[in-house]
Amino acid sequence: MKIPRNGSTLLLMGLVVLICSCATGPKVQRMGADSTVDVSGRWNDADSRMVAEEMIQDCLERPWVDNFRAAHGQKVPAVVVGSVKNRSSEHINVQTFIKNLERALLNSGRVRFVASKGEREEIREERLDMAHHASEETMKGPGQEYGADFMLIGTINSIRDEVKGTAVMYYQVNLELVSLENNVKSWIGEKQIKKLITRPSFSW
Amino acid sequence: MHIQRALPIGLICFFVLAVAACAPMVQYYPQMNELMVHQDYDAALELHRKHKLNFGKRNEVLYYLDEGLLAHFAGRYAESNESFTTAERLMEDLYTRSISQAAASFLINDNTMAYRGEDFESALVNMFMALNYVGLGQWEDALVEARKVDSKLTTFNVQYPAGKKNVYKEDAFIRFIMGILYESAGEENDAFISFRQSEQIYRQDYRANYGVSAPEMVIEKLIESAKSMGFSSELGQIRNAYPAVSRRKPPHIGNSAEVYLLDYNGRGAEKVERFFFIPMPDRYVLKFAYPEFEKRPFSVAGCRIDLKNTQTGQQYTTRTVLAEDLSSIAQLNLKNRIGRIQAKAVARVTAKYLLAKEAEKKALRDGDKDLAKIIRFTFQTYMIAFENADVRHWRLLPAQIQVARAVIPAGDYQGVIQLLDNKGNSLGTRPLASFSIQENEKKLIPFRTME
Repeated sequence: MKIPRNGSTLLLMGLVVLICSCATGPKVQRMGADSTVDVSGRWNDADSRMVAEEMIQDCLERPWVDNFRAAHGQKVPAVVVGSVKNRSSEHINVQTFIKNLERALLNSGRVRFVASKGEREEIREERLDMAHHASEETMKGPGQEYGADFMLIGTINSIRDEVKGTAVMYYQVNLELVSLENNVKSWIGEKQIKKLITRPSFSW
Repeated sequence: MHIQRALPIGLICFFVLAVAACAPMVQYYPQMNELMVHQDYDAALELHRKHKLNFGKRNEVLYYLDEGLLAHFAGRYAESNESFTTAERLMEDLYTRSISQAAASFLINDNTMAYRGEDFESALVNMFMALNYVGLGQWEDALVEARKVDSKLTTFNVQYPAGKKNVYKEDAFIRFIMGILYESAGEENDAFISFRQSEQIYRQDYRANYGVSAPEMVIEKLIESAKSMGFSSELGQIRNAYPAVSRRKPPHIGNSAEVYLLDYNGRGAEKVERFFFIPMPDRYVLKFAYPEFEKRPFSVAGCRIDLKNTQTGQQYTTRTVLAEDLSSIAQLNLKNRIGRIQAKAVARVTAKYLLAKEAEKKALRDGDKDLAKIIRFTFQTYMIAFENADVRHWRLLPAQIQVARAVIPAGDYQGVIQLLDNKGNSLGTRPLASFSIQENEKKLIPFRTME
């Protein structure tokens, strides 16, 4: 079949080729780590940061550290991070704000942190390995671990209410410091986040 | 001259339309099914991944749904969750309908629109993900999926008010599975609510619409849960409603463990095209096409599972019962909105026909008989070739899910699955992967039967 080479045909074919080939690579734009960008409405870095800021400020302002030091001859309290249960309807990485909180409290010099359960197991394994392979002068023996005074535990809860493209998402994060000596709760921190998520019904 | 000018343009338009109106090319599915019959899910998954490009952007949800399900069958739970997470996000994004695609669907056919999944498919994604997390031992994440599906089902309920002709808005089986997950995590109240909802949906919806009654284990769990919560009035109501189950000795003894065996049975219903032609007085022929679900036959009516405690030698036997008739759900779901699909098809075909007639008339008015002939031929071909039903669906779903429950002491177990036909005759046996179970632990073990 002979296709005539007139202008309009070529133009149309060119347009088809152009449309088919206009896939682009990813576009990257760098931004400040503290900027807030909500993309999907799900839990994101901004939520994690907000929780950390609220918890750090609240935890450092409350009198539990001073109370403990007064009762224990100015000893700096040691805290271990326990479980923070995710009871929400999203897969949330709790480590992001827990690590922020840990860092801020530790750097304040008012609190010590001992390694968590998982971390301790790894360290103990290393100590066992040391017993076989390290020199006597440098190896670390068992029974020298620092016992924690408090355990940090918590929960994340969420409620989602949605109808036809509009959803209200409510998160509540609770963190508690429980005395390992007598189970007394010494501090309870709470942060609520509420978001209205709307999805357009139509787009081009 | 007119013919020379029109022909290449017509060919290009034809080509563009053909590309735009295509459903995914699934010619390799029979080969994939064959591999699945032989339980070679890894090979089936590999084959599916090789054909990713067949799906294109508009059908990528379908690609990820099948990829996730194949990985689930293969026991590759982390990979399965990756695929299902992608499918779920795409489905959410597709809540926003594309006006351009919708317009194209009026000009060409419904295949021009991106496939965004049925409501029941969307809920099943979270159920499979929950089971994947259970398989990975990540119970907290499994519960996240339980809450997600809870929220989804609640949204469906609000979306379709009571009294509106039946649509899928609740899922008795998923509620039951969620109850088990909540119970495992010690969330007794949530577990009770899930079991109660499950029983209600079986009674009010499933029995009438799909002929599926609440399996006895649902009632047993509801009774156990009401007892553990101390809900005496609810307990009384359940006992009155199900006296036979209530009279029986409860299966839960001391610190026994529980095993739930989920049989994904048969091949799910297939969406096929139905069409008819209407000859018009002016010799145009109009084609009307619409989709319909066709159930596929399968021989396994149920399974008997024999479990042997390798330490004590004690044998335990349990049988599967029908808990979810996915083919019937798919069929009824489509049936309830077929009126809208057909009305749209009628509007589309009529519009194409009127457009063709008008263009042909104009050419004749201009005295160009050749062009009029081309217009008639092109439009007629276009109307026949592109008036296709949208037969896209989650192809690898099983026809039904059957469940068996065994309350057994803690220990190490080996098992054999015996496949049975509807007369109780054996169709063959299959070993069950050996497992260990602790006191008070719950295990959910899925397997696939396609015979």
